[in-house]
Amino acid sequence: MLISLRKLERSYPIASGRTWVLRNISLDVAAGEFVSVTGPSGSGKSSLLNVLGMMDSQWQGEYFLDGSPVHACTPAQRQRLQRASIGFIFQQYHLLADLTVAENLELPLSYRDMPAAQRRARVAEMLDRFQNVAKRDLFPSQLSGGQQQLVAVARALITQPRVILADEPTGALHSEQGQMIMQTLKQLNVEGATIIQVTHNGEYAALGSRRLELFDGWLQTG
Amino acid sequence: MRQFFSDLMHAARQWRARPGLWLAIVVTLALGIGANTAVFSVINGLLLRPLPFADADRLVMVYNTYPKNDLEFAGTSIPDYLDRREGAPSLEDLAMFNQISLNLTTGQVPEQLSAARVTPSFFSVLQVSAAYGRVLDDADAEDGAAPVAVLSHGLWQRLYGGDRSVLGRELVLSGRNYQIVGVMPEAFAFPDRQRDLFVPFVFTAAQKSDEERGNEYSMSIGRLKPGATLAGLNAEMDLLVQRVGARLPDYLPFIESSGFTGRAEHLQEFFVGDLRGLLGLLQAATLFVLLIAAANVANLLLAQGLARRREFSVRAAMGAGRAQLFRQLIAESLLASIAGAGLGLLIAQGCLALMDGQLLQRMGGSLFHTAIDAGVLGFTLLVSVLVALLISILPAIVVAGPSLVEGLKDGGHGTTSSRFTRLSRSTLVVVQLALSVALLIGAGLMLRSFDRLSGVGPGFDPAHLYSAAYALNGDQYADPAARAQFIENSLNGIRQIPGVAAAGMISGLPFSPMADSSGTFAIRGEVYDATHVPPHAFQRIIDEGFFPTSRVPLLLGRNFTVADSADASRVVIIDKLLADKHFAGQDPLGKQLSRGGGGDDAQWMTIVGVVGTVKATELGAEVRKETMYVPMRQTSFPVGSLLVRAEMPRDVLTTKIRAVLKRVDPGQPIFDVRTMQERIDASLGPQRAPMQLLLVFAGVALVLAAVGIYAVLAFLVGQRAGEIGVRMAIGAGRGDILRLVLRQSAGLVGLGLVIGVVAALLLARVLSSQLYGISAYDPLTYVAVVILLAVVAAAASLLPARRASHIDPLRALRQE
Repeated sequence: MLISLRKLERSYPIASGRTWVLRNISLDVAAGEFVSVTGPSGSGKSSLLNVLGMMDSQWQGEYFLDGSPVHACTPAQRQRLQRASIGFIFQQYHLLADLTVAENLELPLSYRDMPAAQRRARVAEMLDRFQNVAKRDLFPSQLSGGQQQLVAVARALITQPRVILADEPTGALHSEQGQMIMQTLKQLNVEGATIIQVTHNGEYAALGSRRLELFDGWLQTG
Repeated sequence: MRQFFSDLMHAARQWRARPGLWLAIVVTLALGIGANTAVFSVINGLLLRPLPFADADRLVMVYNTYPKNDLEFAGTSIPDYLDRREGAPSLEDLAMFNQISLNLTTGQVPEQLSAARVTPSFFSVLQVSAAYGRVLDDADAEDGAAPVAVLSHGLWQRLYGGDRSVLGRELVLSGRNYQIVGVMPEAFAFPDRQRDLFVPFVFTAAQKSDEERGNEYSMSIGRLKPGATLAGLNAEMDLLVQRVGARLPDYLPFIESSGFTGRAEHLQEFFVGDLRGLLGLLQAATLFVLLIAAANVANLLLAQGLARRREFSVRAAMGAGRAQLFRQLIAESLLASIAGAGLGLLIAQGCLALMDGQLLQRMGGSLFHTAIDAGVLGFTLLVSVLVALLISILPAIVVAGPSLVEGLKDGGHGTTSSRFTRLSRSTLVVVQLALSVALLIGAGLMLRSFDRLSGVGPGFDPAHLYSAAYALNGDQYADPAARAQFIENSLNGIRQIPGVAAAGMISGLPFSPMADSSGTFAIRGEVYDATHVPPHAFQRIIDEGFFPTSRVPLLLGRNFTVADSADASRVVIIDKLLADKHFAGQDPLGKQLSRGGGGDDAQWMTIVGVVGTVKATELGAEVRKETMYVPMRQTSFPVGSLLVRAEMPRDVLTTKIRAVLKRVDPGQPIFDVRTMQERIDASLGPQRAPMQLLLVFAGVALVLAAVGIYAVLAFLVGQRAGEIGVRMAIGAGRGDILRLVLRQSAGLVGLGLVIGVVAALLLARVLSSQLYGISAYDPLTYVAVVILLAVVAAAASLLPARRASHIDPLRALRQE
């Protein structure tokens, strides 16, 4: 299994005790799967994605990523694992406004101590692949929402991650752009990428090979 | 390193995108860093950088001291110098020097040159050689040797345009021919930068005798042997004094009663050691300013940090570690603080000009440089790096803190970080206020102290009172009658100038370098022994015009007249202090004094008048030494000052006086023409400069604190917009909201004021040594500062409070 969660729980302290956002989650995701996580607002979808993406480390239980026990890793080990394995796509794209398209793409590589020549080559390849060569020197504000999300997808892929985590990737797009992004993700999955997406949209959820539903932090189906 | 460079490049882009914020931060940091650089430049120039002589740490000033007579420093006499040069094994070499004025009459207007009269050992002690020709040697200082001179580089350039063939030429100074034997290097300056030339100190047989002991008109500088200590040298000088006492039984009682001995002090310590406390105080003040500036910038960056949480969360999601995020912030702060340091260097130059002009003036354009050198640049760089770290810490916690994931929610408005930011910003404002209060109280106390000081009367009326120095050297004025004639003719001519109200002369003009000329005197009828030694007094030679011109009040008896001539019976006028000290309850008129110890050859002078006490050198110092005035027709001295009361511009008066003197003696210059008020003002330089600097620093602190309060309240109002909307929706009026915000401000301001006052009270002890006539706990200053800051804080709070009271509740609730 690429991802294995065992009895994973996440809670936050509140005045009257704790509030639980993930409860007793056990889950396996194989390499090459396209998993859609759905559920109402506050059900724990984004929290699950944050745990999987190692953006959050305050949880209990077991998490194995490609055999590595994340729950037993030191912060530094987790960061290494995250850099090697995870690519993020956000609902609000989260491109850095003062960086150009090419610089946004280069950003994850710059955190991985890759030599500059290699970085440039990888950026050029990704711009080419997503047909963004002409836009390489534009800033995010000069792009449409769909174009920005395409850049964000390219940015998630540029480090060649084992898993792409997409948190409502079409949430801020109109339907036509949403379709285009989902087709891109589907194509990536066909090419072998493992994708876990959070979505409210039933149609887009159906594009995945498996669907998980969360309710009040509990996993309903598996 | 490559990565950090890339961070710097990115930081530059960040700032380019926010030019307003960048400018605000750079200017704020420039104020703090600039002030620190300025004060450190002075500390570096005065206390840290070695003087420009080989092994300068072995150079010592050697002087006589009379601790039991309350006279810590008393120069050196020739016999003392000879004793020490021969008999102090700790010394490798010893030199003696004093300063004399020589008249140069080659140009249109006779010119006064400032010479150092030095023993030939002066050059070997300082280990300096001539740039051209030679320095003085022992043969030059033989009694009867032909006069020679070594020129300073400055005089050589000025008189001869740097012509090297000047060696061997003759220069006529005060009527004597001096052969030029050498030119000193450009960089050489000792005892100060004003010496035009160096001439040999020739000792006559009489000057080498024991009779000369006590004539301490010279200074002495020595070089310790390697490994020798000050304590060792002091012990050797004690022993030498004991030997003199054993050899001269008549002198022994005075040695014992006065505690007379020799003392040595390292050169640097001797000149500037007493400035250590003041400079420490200024450095502490500038540190306060820097902390206030850093708090302000941290506050600005915190606000920015909150806005940038999303960016940093994205970076983290892309794989940036906390160290990388922190490095990014450091790079941004560093870029700002380095730019601030660059601008700060310009500010420091301005501060230095102020300090150089006043604080260091008393050392007479001294040996010390306060320039911004490599050491100062290094200090500035270090400060800017530390500041960059300091101002990055809080934003780093906010943007790269434990809850990075919050940054991806709702555009980065996480609640935990908001709470932290709110608390941090409020704390920063309290700290800023507290530091400002302490600084303002310090500045206020210095201001009040200076006010008290400058309000002290000098004992004469300095308004429209000009002084001009003269030095009657050479054979022409060897006869006292010739000197008196010159002065009388000059003063008579000056009194004829339209607009001149009065004119007189004095030797040892108060608030001039000659003001401390003093000596022992005896009272007729008193018997002096080991337990009752002759007293010491300032001794001034004046004409009958001095008291009316200076308006020193005549309290008793009469002024001198022309009848008090060399042939008449000898007379003296004393000041009130002398009368009170030595003739308490008696009528001093008719009593007799003599200069010196009152031995068999004493020339007794009858007291004919008592005048008011005059401050000699400092307004702030209590006059502890009495003064006696003797008439110029009975006692003569070649160096003195003309005093003229006239309401006219200095240039006009100077030209007119010079015209008069040209008629009296075309070869006689006057120099150092200044009003007495200017002299008094100059003497206040060491007090004025730190007071002005503290006021500037405190002003900067006040502005920064006001900006800080405004920024925090504006931020808090923004944060509470929703809450304020709810309050208004449920019936709160504008007045209620205004009060709500002002109450919040009052809490912060009140806390800052209390902490600041407590800090000032704790620091008061440090300040008290710098104050005159006022307590470091002066309640008026404390209350005034608290009121001032409270008013400024209220003004800074009003704008955000008004904005809060005008919030549209519907819009605020929608945003919520």
